[in-house]
Amino acid sequence: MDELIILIVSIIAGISTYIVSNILKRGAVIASAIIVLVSGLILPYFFPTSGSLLATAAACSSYAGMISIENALNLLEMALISLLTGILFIAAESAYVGVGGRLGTIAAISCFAWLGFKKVFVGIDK
Amino acid sequence: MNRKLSNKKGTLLLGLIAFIATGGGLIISTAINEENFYKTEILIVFGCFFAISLADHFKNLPEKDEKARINKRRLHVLTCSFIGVTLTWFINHKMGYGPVIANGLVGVMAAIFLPNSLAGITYTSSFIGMSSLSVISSIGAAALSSLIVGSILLLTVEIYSGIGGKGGTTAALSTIITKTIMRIFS
Repeated sequence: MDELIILIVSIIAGISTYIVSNILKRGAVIASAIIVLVSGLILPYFFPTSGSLLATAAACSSYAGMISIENALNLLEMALISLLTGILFIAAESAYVGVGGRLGTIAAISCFAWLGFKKVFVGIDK
Repeated sequence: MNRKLSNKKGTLLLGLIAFIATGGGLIISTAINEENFYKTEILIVFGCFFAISLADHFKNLPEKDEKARINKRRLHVLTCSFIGVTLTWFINHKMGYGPVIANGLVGVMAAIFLPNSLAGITYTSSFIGMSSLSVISSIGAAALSSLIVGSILLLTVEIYSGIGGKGGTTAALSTIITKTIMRIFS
C-alpha cells in the first residue's frame, strides 16, 4: 500500500514540476524547488508516519520533472518518467543511503532509461 | 584550435565517466545487495536502457567551441556552490528542518535572487547539503564538498543539460569524493 502511495506521489510531483517548468515556463529550478518545498511541508502533515518518505519520493520525482520539453514531449511521457522514478526509488532504497545527490541520480537514471526505451522501442529520437 | 577541441572532448569524456560511475554505481550496488530477484531484474532493465541512452546522448552532443571561461565566472560558480552546500547543510542539520525542506528553501531563494545558470548551480550544490551527518559530518566537510562540486560543475557544466536529475549525479559524485577524502584524513 505504501509503495502504491509512493508511486502516486511520484507521478503527481513529476507532472507538477513539468507543468510549472515547461508549460508555465517558470524555469526548472524554481519549479522543482517549489514542489520540493511544498511536499516537504504538506506530506508529513497529512501522512504522519510515512510523510518524510513520501516527501523524499516527491523530491526525487520533482528532480526528474526538471527534464526539458525536447526530451519529454508531453505530460504522458512525464507521467511515465515519474512512474519509472518511483519504481527505481523503491527498488534502490538501500543504495547510497545518506549521500546527497542520491535522489537526483535516481531521477537521472530514470530519465535516461526512458530516453533509452524510446530509442529502442518507439523509434522516437530527438 | 586542435588543442581546444581535444580539451572539449576531454571535458565531455570526463562528464560521461562521472555519469557512468555514479549512475552505474547506484544500480550495481543495489543489484548486488538486493535479495529480491524482481528488484534486481528491474534494476538490470533500468541499467540497460540507461547505458543505451547515455551512449546515444554522448554521441549526439554538439561540439561547441566555447570561449574560455573567465575567472569571474569561476568565482561565481564556486561562491554559489559554497552557499548552496553550506546553507542547505545548516538548515538541514543545525536548524533541524530536514533535507527536503532545506533543499526546497535554498532552491526557491536561488531561483528568486540569482540568474538561471547560477540558480541551477546553487540548487545542484544544495543536494550535497541534504547528506546525513554520517556522510557530511561538519560544516568544514560541507565547505570541502562545495569546492569539489564547484570544480566538477566547471568541468562538466551544460554537458547533460535538459536531463532531469543531472545535477544530482554530480552532487552524488562530489559527496562520495568528499566522504572518501574525509575517511582518509580522519
